Amino acid sequence: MPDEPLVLGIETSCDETAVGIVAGHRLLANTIASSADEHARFGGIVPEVASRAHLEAMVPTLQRACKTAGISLPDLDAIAVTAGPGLAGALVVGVSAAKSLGLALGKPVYGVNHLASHVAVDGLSGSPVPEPAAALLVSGGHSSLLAVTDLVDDIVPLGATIDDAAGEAFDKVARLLGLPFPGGPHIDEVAQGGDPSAIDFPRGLTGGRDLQRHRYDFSFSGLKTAVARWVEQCRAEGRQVPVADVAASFQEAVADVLVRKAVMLCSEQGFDHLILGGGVAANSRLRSLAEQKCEGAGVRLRIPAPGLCTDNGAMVAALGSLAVSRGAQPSEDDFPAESSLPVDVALMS
Amino acid sequence: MILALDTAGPYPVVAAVSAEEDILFAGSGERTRAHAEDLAPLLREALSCGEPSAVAVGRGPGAFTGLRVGLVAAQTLGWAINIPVAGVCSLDVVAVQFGLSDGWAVLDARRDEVYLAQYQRGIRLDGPMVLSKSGAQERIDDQPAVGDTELLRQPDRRARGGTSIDPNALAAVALVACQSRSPEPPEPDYLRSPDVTWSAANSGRSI
Amino acid sequence: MAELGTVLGQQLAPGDAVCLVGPLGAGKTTFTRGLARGLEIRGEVTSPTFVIARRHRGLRVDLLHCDAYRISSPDEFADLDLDTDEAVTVVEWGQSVMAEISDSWLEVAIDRSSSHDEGTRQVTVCGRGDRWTATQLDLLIAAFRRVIS
Repeated sequence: MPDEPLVLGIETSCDETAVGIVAGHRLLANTIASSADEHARFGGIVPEVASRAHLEAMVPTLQRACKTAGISLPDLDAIAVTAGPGLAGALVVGVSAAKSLGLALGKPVYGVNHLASHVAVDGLSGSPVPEPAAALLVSGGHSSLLAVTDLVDDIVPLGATIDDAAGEAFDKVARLLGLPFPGGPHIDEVAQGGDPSAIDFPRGLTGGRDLQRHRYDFSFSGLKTAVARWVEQCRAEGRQVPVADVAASFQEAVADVLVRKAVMLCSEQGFDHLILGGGVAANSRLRSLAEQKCEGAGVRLRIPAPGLCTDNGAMVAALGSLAVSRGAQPSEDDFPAESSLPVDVALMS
Repeated sequence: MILALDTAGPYPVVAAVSAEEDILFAGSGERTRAHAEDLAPLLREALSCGEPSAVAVGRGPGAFTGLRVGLVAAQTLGWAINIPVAGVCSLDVVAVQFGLSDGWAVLDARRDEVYLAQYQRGIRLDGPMVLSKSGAQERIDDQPAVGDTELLRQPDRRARGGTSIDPNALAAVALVACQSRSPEPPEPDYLRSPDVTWSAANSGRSI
Repeated sequence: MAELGTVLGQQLAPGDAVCLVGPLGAGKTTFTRGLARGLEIRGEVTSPTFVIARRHRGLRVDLLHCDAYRISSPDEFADLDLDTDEAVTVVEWGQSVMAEISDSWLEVAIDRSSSHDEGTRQVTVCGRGDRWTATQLDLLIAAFRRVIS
């Protein structure tokens, strides 16, 4: 096994066509072509638009990544690709490209889990991913708390959203408030001028029997409903909606629940490290609250650089590289793209 | 060796053909909705027959998700080993496999529509295009037609066509495409835009 | 709301389709979660919004749970190439795409009525096509009433 496996990673689970190249823990290229602008006018990602953009961008993005990394294809030790979870039609573009690249070069292909990749990317920040560690993954499609003992074959989901993902709640509340898509960055910005304690929005699954039954789970559907009702009430009474206060109070409720449960997990299950990942990890309030609470609880918080929190190819390559160095079996030629791939399947067989 | 692949139909189809025009490999997948799974094993078999000097790939028209599987595979392979990639019209393959000289090749486009193209002495004259079943019947009239022609007589909106691409016919079309001085690009021929409602498309368009 | 879903779920068979209509936060997700229980689906029914369509495995039949909010036309829905014949399909915001799935479906409209208490919902069921006869709808509504009381 090479000490620092050179791996190219492809990610097409949503609207970013991304290719990353790593050598062990060293990041050599992180190239992204995004179709986000094309989706903004639809108020959400349109699967067919995203899939078409992936096909158009695939080879140019591969080319740019190789050029940036200064490598030639035969040097690669392996190809890694997101096999799920994600948009089915988008995933198959990346998976098919990766398989074809592997066949053309005679290199092994690893179909990897998008969520495990979000954790693995932490290994590119200067020191290896601490194992074991707890991980909080929050994005448009996911909100999970994981116990990571071995990134390649021992990730246990301890909690997840039972309804909407945190990022989805951001998008839907943004829609209610008349803010553009994607909701996360816009709510973050508007919230800067608002009072986070102005409205006491509910914290889902944090009390009584809910907390016992869903100790590390999240629920954001009720919060979304509460915001919808509050805004409707406001409009019905002919008052102007205090957008900044609503945004700040909503964001506070989300960050509070996420951080509270993550820190609780660390202390109850004895984790010294918490890794924060996924697009919502770019949220300023979530970051600052996590820093504050982790420090108080004696937990070491690790947050990848913002460019590595959102979807990217480097995270896929990072997990692929770990798989190679740990001697994991490559995926079979006929491995599928799985839209709802569970988080405990880090590698496709 | 020329490597040919098509994923516009219900199953992925792969062929490898030598410079002497011998078919070295011809194979198809057997599961529907499984292009991403079943194409790679076929490609591996085909590539074990020799080193490709060019790739030809079906650019549709066909179901979008499956179509992209073949196109991205062909584009990536061509880029990785630095060989040219030509696009072929999947309806041309249908015309060849049914030995059509003059008339129409027809494929299921779902939702009460069909993809079709017109041929004269084996050369594509018009199309590919997407038309409503009734619109297609009007255009074809009493001329010969091959492929999913049964569909034209079925008014059911969810009736499905059954024509599968024959890898041997694909190989023949691929040979011509790879020898052409100005082959079609290896890009999808969707014939439908993703973000508009297509009730207006029933009047038909050709590209 | 979940209990109503369960009652409906118990009566559904492969090939059946349900269109869920209602504003943000009306209880469509809660209703679907109950429906999944009625179908004996394993695991949590989380939001399909991000992936558009989620397939949940069941002992008796699979549940295909879709969010058509970002689907602009029936044609685009057909392009998702979902296998709806062998599953029970529930589509949120599905008014414009149902005809792609089946000739016949059940429409369940959930509304938060502002004139009532905060938690009150108004549920309207409507059969489209011939899958749901008037008698079947009456039986369904009677079953709903038993759960509510």
